[in-house]
Amino acid sequence: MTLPQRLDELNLPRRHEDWRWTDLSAAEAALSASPANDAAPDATPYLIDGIEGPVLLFVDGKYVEAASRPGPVRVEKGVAHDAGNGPLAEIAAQHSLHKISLSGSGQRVQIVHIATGGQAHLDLQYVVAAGETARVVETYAGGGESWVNLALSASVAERGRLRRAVRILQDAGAWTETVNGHLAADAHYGSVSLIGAAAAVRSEYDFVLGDRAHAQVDGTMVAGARQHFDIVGRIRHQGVGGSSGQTWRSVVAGRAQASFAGRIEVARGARQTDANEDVKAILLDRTATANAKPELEIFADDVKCAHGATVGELDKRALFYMESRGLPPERARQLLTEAFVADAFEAVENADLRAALGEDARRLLERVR
Amino acid sequence: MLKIEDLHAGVEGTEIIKGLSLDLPAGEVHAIMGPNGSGKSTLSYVLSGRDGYEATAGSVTLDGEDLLSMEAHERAAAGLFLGLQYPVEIPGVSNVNFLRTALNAQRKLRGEDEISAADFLRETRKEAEAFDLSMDHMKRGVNVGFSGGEKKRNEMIQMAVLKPRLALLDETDSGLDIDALRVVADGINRMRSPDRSFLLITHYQRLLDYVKPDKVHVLQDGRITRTGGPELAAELEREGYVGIAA
Repeated sequence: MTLPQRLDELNLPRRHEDWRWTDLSAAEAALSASPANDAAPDATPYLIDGIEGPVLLFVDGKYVEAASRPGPVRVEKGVAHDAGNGPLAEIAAQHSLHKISLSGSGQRVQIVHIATGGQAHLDLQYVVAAGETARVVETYAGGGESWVNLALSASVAERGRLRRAVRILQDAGAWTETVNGHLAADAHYGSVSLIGAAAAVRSEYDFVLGDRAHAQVDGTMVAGARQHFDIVGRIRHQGVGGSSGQTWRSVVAGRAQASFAGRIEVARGARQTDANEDVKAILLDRTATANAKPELEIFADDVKCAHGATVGELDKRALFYMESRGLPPERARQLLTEAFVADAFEAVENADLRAALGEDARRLLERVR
Repeated sequence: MLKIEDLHAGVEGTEIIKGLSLDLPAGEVHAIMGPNGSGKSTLSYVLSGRDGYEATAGSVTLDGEDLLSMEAHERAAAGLFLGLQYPVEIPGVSNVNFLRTALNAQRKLRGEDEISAADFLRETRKEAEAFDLSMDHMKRGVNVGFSGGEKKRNEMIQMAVLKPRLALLDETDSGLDIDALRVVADGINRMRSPDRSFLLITHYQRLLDYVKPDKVHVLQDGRITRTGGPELAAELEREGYVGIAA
């Protein structure tokens, strides 16, 4: 059965507005491929230097306990849960679920996923208890004819904090995620995503925020050749005094496309909501495409909602200024693009993580310049 | 050092420099003064190699090398520095990182070794202090949040660290208060040496009260219409460009 047929069978809204920029052909191609059955998978090459803590390794959607160091993190398999909204999440939910209890993990948890081919569905659930702080770094590596499909439900109890960093470094194939987040009163969620290597990426997130909860969803897309990335975000403010921010930076070259559609919904009674959306894209070639579609739906009084979206080219005045000081044009472009995407990592507090993201971005930018 | 012969140049097919000749020997400071629209900024962009500013005839050489056939960054490595009238803000690229990258790029092109981090920092610290800019400014994004005067002083710090053979300063005095003007002038005077030349492009005489030029050229409608000593600047101030032309 083809992926479109599968989606039709599930009665999934493929012609819906939220899907207008999505290209699932790379995912579809992976359906007929199979895993390479790597004999001894190893997470080590994908770990970030300087970050100690538990390591969980997944290969083609399966948890590899023998090559993991879970420490205090509990990984339970097969616990049924509501995969949340979204057709791709429903497909993932038909596969085995891994419930990951992050409470008490203390240190930053690194989750490495290696794709070797074929479809890999990963149904994860992060649970953070009241008042606890959890930090996760997810690295998606491997590649080939693969489709990695992640369904993540994240629930953060009152005053809890969850920090999530996502590095999509797999060198080919498709990568999709559907994130459903529930933030209780005074809970904080912050994520930063680096999207650059796969052929096609779709990241869909939906957060529901309680009183004074805060969600910060940031990321950067580096797209070249015919890469096709899109972000479909939804932040639902349902409590009083909640806040949210979304900062996305894209550098797009060749015939690539990077899209962002972000909806902010402020429910009746969600007074004193403060929501901000900041989306900027730079096109390096005339053949590249960037789409930005902010949407606001406000049913409450006394709220602040701001959004800004720009699509442009590298600043020619800045390029000349740098060249006049002796920088070769390619070095000037490198510094400007690196500085541009670094905006999306500004909120990352850990220096090792920020440096690793910067280094990842540098490598990705090198490929598209 | 700098030899311009019968230069014709312009932007998008419009000729703005119309047969300009100028000889700037090593160690001298010359000033080019001219009214708005006379071609002062165009001249600085043509000399520094900005895209879109094309020379259509004539020649420009720096120490005998054909400047016009070089890319902008090659001209910098050859020893040319352009101090801009409106220095550009570059968010996210720190001042020190930018300056060090620029210096090392120039050295590489000249076949020299990279400067050590310690030497670079010592030098930068010294110049920042001399031009009255804090190290906090040096760590910030290039010119981001700087006042007009701070931007010009930052240009001077870059010039002092890059040590060009020829500094082309385009309206460096504009937007400076009297104290900043003195700081900038002192910096230029300190950097004067027998093997370094300066071309000061300016609208007013005030910078020339502090930096005494060897020669003053009057630029009008794309040509040098008069050349004289420092007294010509005072005459211009008194009589205006119209009076001089007549």
